[in-house]
Amino acid sequence: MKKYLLIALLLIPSITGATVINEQSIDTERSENTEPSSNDMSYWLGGIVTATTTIHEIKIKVRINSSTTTISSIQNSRLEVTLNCTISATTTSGSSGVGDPNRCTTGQGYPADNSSNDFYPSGNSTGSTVFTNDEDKYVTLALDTSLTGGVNGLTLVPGVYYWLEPDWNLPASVTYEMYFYGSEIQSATQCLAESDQNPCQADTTNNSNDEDNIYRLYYQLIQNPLLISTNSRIVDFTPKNNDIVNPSIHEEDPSYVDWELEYFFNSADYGTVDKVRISWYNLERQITYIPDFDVINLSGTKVVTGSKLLDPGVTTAVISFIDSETGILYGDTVAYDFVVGWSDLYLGAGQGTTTLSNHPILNALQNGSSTVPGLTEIFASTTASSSIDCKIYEWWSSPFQRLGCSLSETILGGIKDIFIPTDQDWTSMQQQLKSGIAYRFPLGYVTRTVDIMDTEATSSLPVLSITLKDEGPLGGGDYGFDLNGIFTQANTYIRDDFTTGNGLVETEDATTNIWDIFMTLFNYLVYISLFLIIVGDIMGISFTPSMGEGPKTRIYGIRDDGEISYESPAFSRYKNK
Amino acid sequence: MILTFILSSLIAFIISLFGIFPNVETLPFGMDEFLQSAVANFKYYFEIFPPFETIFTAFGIYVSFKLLVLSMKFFLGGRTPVSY
Repeated sequence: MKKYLLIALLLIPSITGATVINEQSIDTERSENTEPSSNDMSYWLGGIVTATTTIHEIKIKVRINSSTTTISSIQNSRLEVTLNCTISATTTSGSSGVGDPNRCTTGQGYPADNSSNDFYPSGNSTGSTVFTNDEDKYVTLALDTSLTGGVNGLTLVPGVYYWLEPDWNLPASVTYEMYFYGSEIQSATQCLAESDQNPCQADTTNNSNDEDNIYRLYYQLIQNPLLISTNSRIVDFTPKNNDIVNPSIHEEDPSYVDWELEYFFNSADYGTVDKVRISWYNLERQITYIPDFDVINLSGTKVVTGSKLLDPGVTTAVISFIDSETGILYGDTVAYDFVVGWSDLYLGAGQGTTTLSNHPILNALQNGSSTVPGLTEIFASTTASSSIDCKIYEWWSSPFQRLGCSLSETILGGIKDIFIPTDQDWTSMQQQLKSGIAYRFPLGYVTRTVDIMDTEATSSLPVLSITLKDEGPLGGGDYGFDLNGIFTQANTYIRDDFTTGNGLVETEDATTNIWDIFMTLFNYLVYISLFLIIVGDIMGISFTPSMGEGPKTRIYGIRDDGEISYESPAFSRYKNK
Repeated sequence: MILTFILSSLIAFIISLFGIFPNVETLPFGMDEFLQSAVANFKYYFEIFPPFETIFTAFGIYVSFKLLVLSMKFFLGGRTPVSY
């Protein structure tokens, strides 16, 4: 029986339609800031804005070059950042010249009056940051507040050039690098103009001989280069926008967040891009990204899954196709904002609850120590009716609970926890049971088999090739048989969309390919045939053509073949029926 | 917490019973590598030529049906409600 079971498990494949690539091995350790070195400029030069998008903040990183700057000379110095003129927009046509600072005075929707258009770094009321060592400094320019006209964030439109003009007051003789980030986007900078005040290189020396120590740096937020096929795109991602996922035990604890990415890739884009990248931005706008995973040189929908250890708080996942050699992002960059919650946080909970008004994230928002894109929107519609669950066993240790719950509320909320296991408890017990039993002999053999069957790794068969002897007219010839190549080519035809001209059939629906058209019919034919065969086996009826030999039942067939003697006991059983 | 404690204790007891058995990390007799290789090849063909997946699935269902019939014949003998 074990043999049969093993064979059955071997022969029952997954029926899912989409290809699934399991990336669970990715990033199973606690995430660390995996920023590349400063030499890896390509990483920072990824473009943005292929679709209308809104950014809520601009992050500026300043890295003091300790090899050319005496750190002690800048210790306790202030870096004051003001975004005068800030951002203006103009189209490329009719411009008065690339890098012309005058264009900064004609902003769209923003007044030219600098005095009313200043933005200060969030989290610091003085709008400055203090250098105490040579570490990187991040200065955030919030666009959600203080914007004249009440604009919530800055809407970037494709095809429009945007200019940033920060004024820096730096101490003398400082060599520094600056990088700009948009909030939902990875980076956004490409220096356009050069002038004596505006060295375009990342390394910029403040010689303190310019007026007011003010430097103007002009950056263009550029579009991602387009992909060849408009059909290559990020289709879907989980967690969704505004999801609250995977609560951890305490607000300090990171927790694993299962993610699933679905994207459509057209093989015409293979070579332009070779990988897909997911970049993660956490509450402090630190960036981590999982190792890029390869796109497969096959057209079709792919689903990639994995698990990422994230700190609690608002997280943004930015997904894009990338050329791994140049680091340039291609096509639309898609961003998802979600909250990595913790067990204390329940939206819409009932008894024994209190409002979220004292939630530390909200506090951080309100006092300006954190500006997180999307967070305000997430809580804006839910705060009034939302609540947290007050747990008695965490009340004592959790400053969050002390802020949010009274003791009576905590007791009421904790009563149900005394008797009813939480979802986390159920999950934990299930995992314990699985790890303790499922992999033990003898059940472990079945589990291991199922695990192997469940893996989505693929490998191609080797190419068969022969070399003939040096005799005869074909002597010395090399002959190969590459089944992989044959089917890959066939797959290209049946799965390519028709916008690229590679398809065999032109249709008005660009997203339809041959496989989409015939899949339903093909599946129907296969499964109806299977049904008839099984019914035939049960009923003893053969559906194969009889070729005029009379009724082709199993019994007649056996009689005709002479396998059953008319005097045999077997015939005696049938002859009276 | 109370129910969690009871259930966790029960699970711990069950796990302790199975603790005498070794962990199975790989299948014996080289089957692990063979099965991994076979599955990887099959899934590759599913990927490059989707009709394979449908055909193979149908074949798997039919073999499962045959195994079911064999099992019934083993246990029920001549009382198996099929024609053969």
